[in-house]
Amino acid sequence: MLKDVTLGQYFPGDSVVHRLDPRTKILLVILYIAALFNAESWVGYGVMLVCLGAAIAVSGIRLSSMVRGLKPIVFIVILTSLLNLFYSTGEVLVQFWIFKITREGIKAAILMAARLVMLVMGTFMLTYTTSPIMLTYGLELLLNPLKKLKVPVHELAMMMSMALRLIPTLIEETDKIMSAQKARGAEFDTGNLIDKAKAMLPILVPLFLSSFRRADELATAMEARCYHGGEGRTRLNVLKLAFRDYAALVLGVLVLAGIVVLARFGL
Amino acid sequence: MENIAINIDNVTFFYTPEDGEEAPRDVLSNVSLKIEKGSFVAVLGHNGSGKSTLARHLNALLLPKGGSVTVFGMDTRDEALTLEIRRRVGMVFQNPDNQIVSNVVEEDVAFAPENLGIPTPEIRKRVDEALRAVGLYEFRAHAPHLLSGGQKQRIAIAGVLAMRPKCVVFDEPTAMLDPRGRRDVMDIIERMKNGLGSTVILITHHMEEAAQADRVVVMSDGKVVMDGAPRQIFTRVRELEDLGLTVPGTVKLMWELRNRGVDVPLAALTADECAGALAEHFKANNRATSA
Repeated sequence: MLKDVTLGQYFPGDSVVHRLDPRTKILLVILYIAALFNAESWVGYGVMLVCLGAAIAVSGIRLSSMVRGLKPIVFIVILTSLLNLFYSTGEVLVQFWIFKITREGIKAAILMAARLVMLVMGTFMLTYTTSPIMLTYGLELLLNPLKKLKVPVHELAMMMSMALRLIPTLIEETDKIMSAQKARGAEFDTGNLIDKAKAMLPILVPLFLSSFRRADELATAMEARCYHGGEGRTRLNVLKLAFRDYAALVLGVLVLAGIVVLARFGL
Repeated sequence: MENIAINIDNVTFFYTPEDGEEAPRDVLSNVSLKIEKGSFVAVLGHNGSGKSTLARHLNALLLPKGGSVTVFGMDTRDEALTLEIRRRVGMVFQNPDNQIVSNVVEEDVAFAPENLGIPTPEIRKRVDEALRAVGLYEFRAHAPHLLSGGQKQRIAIAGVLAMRPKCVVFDEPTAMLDPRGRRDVMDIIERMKNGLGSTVILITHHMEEAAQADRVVVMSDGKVVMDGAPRQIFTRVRELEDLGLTVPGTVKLMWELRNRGVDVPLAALTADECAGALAEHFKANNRATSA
């Protein structure tokens, strides 16, 4: 049951999107989000939708995987849409009790829902096409200038990649502990929310203990393999920006500029 | 001194007690061992005998409280030499899950060379070489958590081999593996010793594994109690059993036969050797009865 956790899911592939440098992809996502929040009209959203659609098509990621990932945010999307629907002022179309629906409200609701869905899908394009290791490495390189401000960039990146490394191990461990508890009569699926929460406690305590032991052993193993911080470290896979990275970045900047200009003209 | 890889000289160790705890018991007391270059030494002992603590002294993970450990001429207490010591003495631990650092096999194997600041093309060469040595080259792009326990342990070994160490310490490397994984790991250890000429130190409580070594050291209560060739050690059946250890099954069989008055040699460390000795005995018996 825990095997289908989608956190940081990655679909290996060999498309142009996959081969882009992780740094490029991170920057593109930032540009994309900036553009999305500057888009104000149907035209602006249309342009963004075309960009997103093109990226998905090129990446070869199936649309169904994209949609499946939206499940956790359905509630937020509906809630924000409803709020926008009822709390906009303008030309009243329908009115009942204390609610009134305006033309502007409908537009705002649809665009807000689209904005949220496209925002999440855009970030999926990053995590679905970039391995967690590469993503961390890309982040480390992008944040490298902060080292001058004494920000422990390498340490943060190492912590992140260790966390990613341990997720499958801890999931496996949780499954094991749950089976052991079930074998001794524990029930996790019955009762109300509070009962269920209480049933989680005997899982969390051993899980925490074993995580600490694991962390300790892992640290020892890392030391035994000469780990001594980021100083003087080299890499098996070195990131190099290729022509396609520059091209993609130029394209990203152009789209953002275009959206800003469109918004200036009220489109 | 020249052919000594590791010199453990009168080492004493205890874990420093926290406030309010009673005075510590020595985990190692006055341990002295000289380990020769290119030898294969097995260290035996029941749980709590101090064998893992001893192992951790060999690459400066722990420092002796008394006495000294000298590794290829370098004193482990000299902090400036710690990295130099660790790149020469690799260590493989018991639980493969807790020593793999990356989500990709080849990135994990590359971890140690990366830490040592080795240039990228050279890392690639070493990673490929190490993965071929453990027979997992075709798994280089896999995620380690999808592999079997034995395969994961072989990746951990590759990760150590990529440092090109002169000596490798295995701390109960097969304790969590199934029989197949155990055999694979032992095959690699055997090959390392013969092919690469590395010094191998194997901490274990499997007698059959220890029987493959050139030399067996038995520890109990933080002391070295026996030290010699497997043939000499494993024939001291009664003493080993008093220490809470068993002897290899074949030696035990010979021991029981001798107790029942059958005249067979005691030193039969492998099934093959044992079968040979028994066949010899039966043939001699047959000749005696037919004559």
